[in-house]
Amino acid sequence: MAVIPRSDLERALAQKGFREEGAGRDHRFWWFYHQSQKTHIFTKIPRGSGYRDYSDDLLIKVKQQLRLDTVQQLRDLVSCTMTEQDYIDHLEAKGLI
Amino acid sequence: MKWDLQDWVNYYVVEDRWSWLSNMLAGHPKVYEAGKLTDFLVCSACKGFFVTQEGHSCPGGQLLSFHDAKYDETVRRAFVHEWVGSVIYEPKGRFKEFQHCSAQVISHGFIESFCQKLLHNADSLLNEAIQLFEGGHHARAAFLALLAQEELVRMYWAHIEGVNSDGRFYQFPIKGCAPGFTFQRFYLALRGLRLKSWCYEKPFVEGLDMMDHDAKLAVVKIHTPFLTTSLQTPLVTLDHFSKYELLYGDVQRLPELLRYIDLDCRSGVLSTPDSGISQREAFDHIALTCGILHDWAEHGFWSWSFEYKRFIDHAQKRYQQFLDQYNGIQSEVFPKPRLTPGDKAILAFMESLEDLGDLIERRVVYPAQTPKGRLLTPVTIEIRHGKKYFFASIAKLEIVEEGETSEAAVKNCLDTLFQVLKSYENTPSEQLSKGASAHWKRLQVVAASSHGRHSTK
Repeated sequence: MAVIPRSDLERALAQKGFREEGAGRDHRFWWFYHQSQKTHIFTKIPRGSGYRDYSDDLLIKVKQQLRLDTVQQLRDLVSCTMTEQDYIDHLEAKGLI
Repeated sequence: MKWDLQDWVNYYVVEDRWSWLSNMLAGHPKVYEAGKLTDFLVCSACKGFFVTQEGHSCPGGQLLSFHDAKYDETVRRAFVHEWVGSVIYEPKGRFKEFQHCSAQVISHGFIESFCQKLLHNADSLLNEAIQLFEGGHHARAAFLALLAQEELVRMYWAHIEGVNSDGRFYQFPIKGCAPGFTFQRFYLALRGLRLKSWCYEKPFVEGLDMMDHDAKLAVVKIHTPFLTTSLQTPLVTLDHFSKYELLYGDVQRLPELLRYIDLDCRSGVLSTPDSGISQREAFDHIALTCGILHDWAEHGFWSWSFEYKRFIDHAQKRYQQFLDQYNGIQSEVFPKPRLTPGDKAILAFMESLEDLGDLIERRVVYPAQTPKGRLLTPVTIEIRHGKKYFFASIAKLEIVEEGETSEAAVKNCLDTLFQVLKSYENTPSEQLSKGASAHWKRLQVVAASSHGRHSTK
């Protein structure tokens, strides 16, 4: 499957209610905010050159962190097929927010 | 080659087989009643079993103790002879026709396919039972759940025959049959007769009467963690014929359903039972069957296949859904897991970790000081090997991180733990969602950040 560039992933996160926080030397944290409150859903994006593109292996991990069921859902999130509201609905359905 | 009593004696008298047999003998009613193995005696002349209290005196005979058998083959032989003589199964009636093929080996493939059929029968019966339950037909639903249990019990015993072809545990003597796999053994396993030798309720040779369904389950339950941990009280005793009449009111479907029922049809008499089955009883039976199906499904598939995993997942999901859907029913038999939303989230997180690759190690990290914080309690870190990366996860804290080596993954995972903790500490509490607050509490139990707001630095 096609890789997802890190920049696309971060852009999508910013558009879907995630806020960047606590940027360190080698990574950035992205926290999901819902109704102006910080939730416990987050992902850590490394800044190293080895992480410019996200292959399946890493996408599975991000999918896990974002509480999505499939990698395809993550791809939909990045490609904007899944809107922020869709994502919220998904998390609500799972009782996570 | 025909095996007879003496062959069986020669077989069991070998030392390592004796150690198994001595355990069996320890469960013999006479030994059981005597209380002590050392009180269990055999007469060297008449070869009879005795306990000290009986004061047996046989002309020329010597009472040899069970304890001596370990060191003395003569004594061992006397005990084995007596035991085999009392339990050897002598095929009768229609079993006789199979005697000529006593040495016939039943292939694993055959048993596997047979078990899978039983498993799928049980599965479809359970589906039907749940549908009936949802439609308010509780008695019929319970009946079908019981039939499904029958299938699973049979599957279990057939499976044991399959995996124990070389073992000694199930090599009970059958007249005319050599140890190992025989048609008779398999047939008996399918019929559940083997259970008689477990219970010692009746002598093994006493006819072909079937143990009833509940007696079977009572014995089998010791083999499944699900039942031993969950089942607190005995199952409701049910008679299939009676239930059938109650449920269906006629006997038209009887032949069709009899293929599921492990009964001696010759003596079955239909009669109207005193009472029906309540919703709670039906719920108990279905929930129990769902649980058994999930626990025992593995016996239906020898190979770790995709189909197997899918079936297990499906059984687990259905069990959980059923319990959740009827959460209001107060079960007396079956404790329902009460999961908080937080527990459910952790459970879902743990289950999805499998997608990250093969689990290669479980490492317990003990309380320790790290540059970013301090572990207050041990944490279990699971390390998985994906296609390119290693992944380390702390399931109960819902944290997963990757690394190019397993060590890097673990370090990254712990770093994240402390960073997340610090992030919570730096966020005003009113800005934390309910889920985040709960997550923070879980983290606080496990770790303390070095640079939190309470830090002196």
